[in-house]
Amino acid sequence: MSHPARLEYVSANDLLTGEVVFLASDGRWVQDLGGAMFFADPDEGALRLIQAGADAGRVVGPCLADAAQDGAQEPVHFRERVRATGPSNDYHGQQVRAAHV
Amino acid sequence: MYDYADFDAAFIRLRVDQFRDQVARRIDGSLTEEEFRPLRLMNGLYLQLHAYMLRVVIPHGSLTPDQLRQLAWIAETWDKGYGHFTSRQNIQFIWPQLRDVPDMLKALADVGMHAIQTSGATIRNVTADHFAGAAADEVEDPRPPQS
Repeated sequence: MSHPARLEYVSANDLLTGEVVFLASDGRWVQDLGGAMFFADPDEGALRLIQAGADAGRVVGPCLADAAQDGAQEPVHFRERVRATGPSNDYHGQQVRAAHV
Repeated sequence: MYDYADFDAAFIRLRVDQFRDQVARRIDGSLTEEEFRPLRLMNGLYLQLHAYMLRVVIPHGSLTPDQLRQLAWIAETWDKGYGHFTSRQNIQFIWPQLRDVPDMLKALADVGMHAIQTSGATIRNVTADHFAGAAADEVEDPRPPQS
């Protein structure tokens, strides 16, 4: 039985706003996970994480997160799902932003 | 109610100025996050899952009307218009932006409040059952003895 392919992406918090951001393919940090760059190659993930770590003037705590490649690119871990979708206890944060897009 | 002595008030303002300088140095890259983290935590500023969070001390859980109005003004000016009261009777602003925090702390100092040492091994408010002294089946009355 084959397992779904795993992807990785780089997640962090914006230094000035504190909000969750994701590394995009052009090196920018974006707030929407849909704009993030996903890696199938672990070596590329490790390299991108090193590059993100050098961006300490813009972000705090960059880390690699796992995503499942099963149609949608969804975070595997609950913590990262919550970070991507916003607080679960109220309608604020990412949910409000998505409603205004 | 905890009242500030002149020394306390001057000390709190000194700490606001000190933290303003530390925030500026973090933003301009003079301080790394590793250097800045303990400094912000000493001033009650956490970085949580979704955003920064500023935890404000409310000694004994008691507020004057002026202090409560100032908390509301801070929430409307620099946050999303609300804060969360905690189980230890403090208040947390959960969407502050880093640049604004020194101004928030100054506004707190203006009404004799601060966020110092709301992180780590520090003195905390102790809370008890709100039915203390009234519940017929309580094992012990946790209220301080009346003289």
